[in-house]
Amino acid sequence: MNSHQAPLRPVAWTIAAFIIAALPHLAAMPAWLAAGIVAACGWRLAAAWRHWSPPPAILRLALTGLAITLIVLAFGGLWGRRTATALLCVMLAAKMMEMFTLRDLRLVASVSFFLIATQFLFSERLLYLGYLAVGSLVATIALVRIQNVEAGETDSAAPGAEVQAIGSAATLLLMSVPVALTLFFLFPRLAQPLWGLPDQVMDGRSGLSDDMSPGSISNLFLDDSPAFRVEFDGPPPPVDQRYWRGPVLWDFDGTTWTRPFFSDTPSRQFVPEGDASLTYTVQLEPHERRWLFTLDYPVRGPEQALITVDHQLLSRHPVTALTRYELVSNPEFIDMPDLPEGARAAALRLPEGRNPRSLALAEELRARHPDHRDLIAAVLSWFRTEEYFYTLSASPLGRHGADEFLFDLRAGYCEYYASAFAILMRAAGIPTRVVTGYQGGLWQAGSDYLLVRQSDAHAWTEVWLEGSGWTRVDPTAAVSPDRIEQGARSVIDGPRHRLDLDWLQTLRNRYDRLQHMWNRWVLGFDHDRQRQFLQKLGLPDLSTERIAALMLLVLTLVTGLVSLFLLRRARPRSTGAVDRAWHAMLRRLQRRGLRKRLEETPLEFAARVEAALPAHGGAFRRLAATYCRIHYGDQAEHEADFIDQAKGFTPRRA
Amino acid sequence: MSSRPDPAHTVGADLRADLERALASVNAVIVDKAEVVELAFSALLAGGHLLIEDLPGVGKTTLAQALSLVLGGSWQRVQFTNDMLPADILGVSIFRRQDEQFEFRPGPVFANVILADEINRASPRTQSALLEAMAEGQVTVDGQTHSLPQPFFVIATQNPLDLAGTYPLPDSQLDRFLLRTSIGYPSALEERRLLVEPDRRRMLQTLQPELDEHRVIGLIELAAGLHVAEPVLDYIQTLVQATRSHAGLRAGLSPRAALALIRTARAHALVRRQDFCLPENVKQIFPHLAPHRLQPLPESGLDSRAVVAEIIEHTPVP
Amino acid sequence: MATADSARLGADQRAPRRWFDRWIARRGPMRPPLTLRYRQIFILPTRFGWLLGLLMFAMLMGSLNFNNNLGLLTTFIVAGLASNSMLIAYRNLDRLQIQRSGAAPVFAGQTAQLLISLANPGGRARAGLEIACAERRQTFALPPGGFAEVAVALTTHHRGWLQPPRCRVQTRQPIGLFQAWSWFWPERPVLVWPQPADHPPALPEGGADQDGRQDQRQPDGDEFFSLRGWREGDPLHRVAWKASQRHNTLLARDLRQPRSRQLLLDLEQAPGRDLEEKIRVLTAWVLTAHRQHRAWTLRLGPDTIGPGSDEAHLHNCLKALALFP
Repeated sequence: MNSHQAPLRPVAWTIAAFIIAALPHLAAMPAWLAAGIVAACGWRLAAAWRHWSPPPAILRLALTGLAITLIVLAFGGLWGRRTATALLCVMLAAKMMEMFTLRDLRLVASVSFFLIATQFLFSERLLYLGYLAVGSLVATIALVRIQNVEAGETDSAAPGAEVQAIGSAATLLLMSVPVALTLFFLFPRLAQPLWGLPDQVMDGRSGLSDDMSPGSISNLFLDDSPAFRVEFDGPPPPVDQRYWRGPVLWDFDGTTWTRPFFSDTPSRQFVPEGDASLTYTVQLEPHERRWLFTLDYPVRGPEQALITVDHQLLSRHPVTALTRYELVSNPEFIDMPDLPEGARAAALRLPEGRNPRSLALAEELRARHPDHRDLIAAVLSWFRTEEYFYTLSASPLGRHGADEFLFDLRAGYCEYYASAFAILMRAAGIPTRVVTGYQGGLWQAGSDYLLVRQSDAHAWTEVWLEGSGWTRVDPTAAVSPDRIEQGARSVIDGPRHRLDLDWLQTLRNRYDRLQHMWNRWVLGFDHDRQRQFLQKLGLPDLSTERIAALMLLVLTLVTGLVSLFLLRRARPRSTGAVDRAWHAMLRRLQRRGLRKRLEETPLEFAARVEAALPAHGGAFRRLAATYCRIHYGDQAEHEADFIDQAKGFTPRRA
Repeated sequence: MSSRPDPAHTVGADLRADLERALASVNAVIVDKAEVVELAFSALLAGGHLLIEDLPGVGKTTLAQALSLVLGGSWQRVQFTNDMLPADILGVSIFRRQDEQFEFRPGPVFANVILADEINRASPRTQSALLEAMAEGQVTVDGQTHSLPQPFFVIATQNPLDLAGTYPLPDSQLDRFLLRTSIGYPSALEERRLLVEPDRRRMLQTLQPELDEHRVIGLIELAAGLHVAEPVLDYIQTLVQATRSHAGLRAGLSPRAALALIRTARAHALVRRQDFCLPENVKQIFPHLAPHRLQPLPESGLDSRAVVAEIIEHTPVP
Repeated sequence: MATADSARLGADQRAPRRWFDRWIARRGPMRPPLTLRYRQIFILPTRFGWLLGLLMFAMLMGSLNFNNNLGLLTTFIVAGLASNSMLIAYRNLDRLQIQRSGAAPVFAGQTAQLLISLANPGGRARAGLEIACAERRQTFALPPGGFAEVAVALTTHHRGWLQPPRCRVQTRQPIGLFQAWSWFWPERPVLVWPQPADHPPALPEGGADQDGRQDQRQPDGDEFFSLRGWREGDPLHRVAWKASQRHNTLLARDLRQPRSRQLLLDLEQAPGRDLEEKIRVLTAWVLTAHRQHRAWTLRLGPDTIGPGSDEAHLHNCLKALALFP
């Protein structure tokens, strides 16, 4: 590696590789930072074109320092994946300012692969396969072009050079697919992560949060991306039973509902399997929280997961990759027939001095309906009959949120209703908790899974009733039955409707089906799946060492095959059909043991063939003479005849 | 060559027929040496000169004589000896007493075909007089320049073994000859024919001129117009380049030599009744055209003929 | 494909080096002409290759830990790229022919151009090849079925035979991850002539005596320049009777100055404090004599070379001077 001043074309390819790899990262960055990085690339390109010299080290250092400071300010620290990737991008952009040697170019081109890989920590959707393909192709082309320059290529402006570089990079990449697939399927997967991830690293992404203050789910409703998919062993439950339990919130501080201190306590209750038990498999998109969604009530979850006292299923580590888990739920289970005192207190606690009007209403209701069930029915029918609307464009709420909502606004979405309802209930002396999660889901026609999107996020309540324990009450259902029966989409109003054309919907569903397969076979391929995969191949119960050995074996085989292809003797490159026909004939003769030596002329070779294969020599000699006339002469009239005859020439051993 | 591309001679058909007859006549006398005869005619039709190096008695002189007879025009035979002077070749200016003037008496060099026998017996000065005449196509004696006739073709012979009292042509002069070749011993079959058939010398007398100077010039023009395809040019270029980059040689072939190679390959193609140049022509010519223009480095211990053979052996035919 | 245990060996480690050389030599012929095959081709990652390996390891660990399958796929594609580029690096040298090597003699202190001829017998172009010899590098490429002549400069210091060091032909194609290389010894040593003295004394005129005249084949007629027609006043002894008879007219010899006498260049008579200096003076003399087209005889101790004046004689003399013990 020497210090050539890198010429324009490799620089341009390297920058292209970097930009493509960084594209999703740039999109997720603050706009000013992305603009700064793109500007650095633009400057570098111009510098290569105009032969500018690198900026002074002081300036580079100052700019880099400034960018890092701004990142710290913008992301609130240097800890977190977005921050880390933004930092990497900035470092590379800074490197770009000084990448004036081939070595620097190589560094940037190869770190592009790393940048591509880091993007998959954020999303592994099918779409990104294209990103992977294009990104690695361009990075490989950049590496090829850099090598060309190092190998002393002088006419980098030669028109064929780019095409040739693209061709060899594509071959290189295509030939790496067999090796990559072998490794992918046979590289022993970890049953457990090697190291846990600090929670701070998770810097939040779309998905359910662990608290609820009316307003926070709303952006989820517009997110059509899948949250999880469910396959059932048997028929799926009816629509009004599809409540996917997520975080259970007990504590309310006046604006926000949060999980209580005991929410990680494992359940002491044993949920038995019942007649109505459902068995199903959830394929959960990574959402970087620990909760796994279940139908009420999970009987048993996967290993490595725990069922809490309020029947949440919690994974030990944040879900950072597509996860599959199998579940059994018993919907008929009665949760807490007897409510312990502590729990009752927690389920009745309300902050002081908030929502006076609601509290007054609750007092009034309590007086009018001594029976809890009657009271609940009265409130729900009140919601139904009075002018309450379900809308996603709800206003934020002030200090007395429930009051504002119940008496003034009268319009909101599930969180508003769940929160207000829970406040009313607690004020009326009924133990209540809020459950967030998803509701509904699209049963894909023709495929056998339920698709739950982020837009299906929902919040509802559970009240404790004597005799039936914790009972689900969904106030939103009283206001907007459509929301429950037809899904969140039916209540989204505004311009989105125009986009939801039927065919578009169909296309989207098709794509999701593809995505489902992708998730199932590629992304969900983990330790367990690998075992299953090998079992299907008839290799049951291999230890990790054995799998590794198998991998090496198959890898050797595959590499051998690839090398057979790559190291095959190259045929002399010929342009015309005549030359192709001629060389094809030579190959056929070679198979008969007659190889034209390089220094042999066609006619000399023909004489040798005639001596070795008297039966065919005459025909070959005539063909060779015709070939000479075409190849060395100035006449082209025999071409078609020659090609036909040459194709018909099949020498056999005498 | 057992096979030849279709002899569809469209250009200069009667010239080609004459050439054919001339070749046949010479081949009738010089048995089984078609290759050498082809080379000789190639040198002639490329407008160059021929040096034949071989032992006495293998037919050098017979070949040269047969050629000169068949070609028609004027021909001269010069047997070189060590007391020969340049004037014996070129001619002399004679002072004529009657009109007080110098009169030029042309030497044997003033002929269409010169057979310079045992050229290495002459002193270097005499040799170079002939060689300069060959190169320039004219003779300058006593300040007066006399043009040589056209065509002008020198066949020189040299005995490589009998070196006593001889002056082998200096390396720097050898490239005055377009081709250098040898005849070699006759094959058993040919030898038998030589023994059985009538004396070659007598057969020589039966030869009739088949060509004349005009036709030879026409044939030279015909040869110069033959098609040489790109692959053949590539081949020539690669060969010449290989001599330039060969580690065992002092210097490679000059561009002039490359041009001579193309010219001779064309003539060889014409002699072989082809309509265009084949790599075979180049391959046949190169070992006779290159070695005497190349000087191996003394310490490399190589012979330039071996180097040339090696180069051909390693050059792919495009 | 062979992989060397170690790419670099300390130059001062004599014994391991010798062992290594022997080991290399066992793997096949090392002098041109040779065709490179798997036994002679070695491959190791370049620095960039190691760097990418490190990057790959980081990607692997991260992806495995997060069970991030696309991340793993990316890692494995890079692994595939690496394995393929190793194959291609090997392919770029496989069956490459090193046909010969040699250098024209030079005077000590000049750089000799070691010419190495290579050929590509295959139908595939080979780009990005490099010859590394004595810390000089030269890149080149070979078209399908093509030839290349690569010149590597060699610094010379002393007269005599210079054995060029072991050379490498190497490549880092296609993306600079791996370096494949092969060793060979140039087959012929380079002759280094003595450096001519900078300010040599004038040629020793008149030094020639009978000892110097060894060539008995000097022709009598050498002093003739030409014949011309006899003019009145030409002395009788200049009439060339024999020729006159042949041409049937009277011819006279045109005489010119006889050649200058030959030079004898003797090592013992050359000025200089030591042998080397004397040899340098002799070298300068030989060159001057040749430039002036004069015949000379060189005497080196018991050996006498010449007389002569042509280039072959010059080369013989220079070679003798170069190799004089």
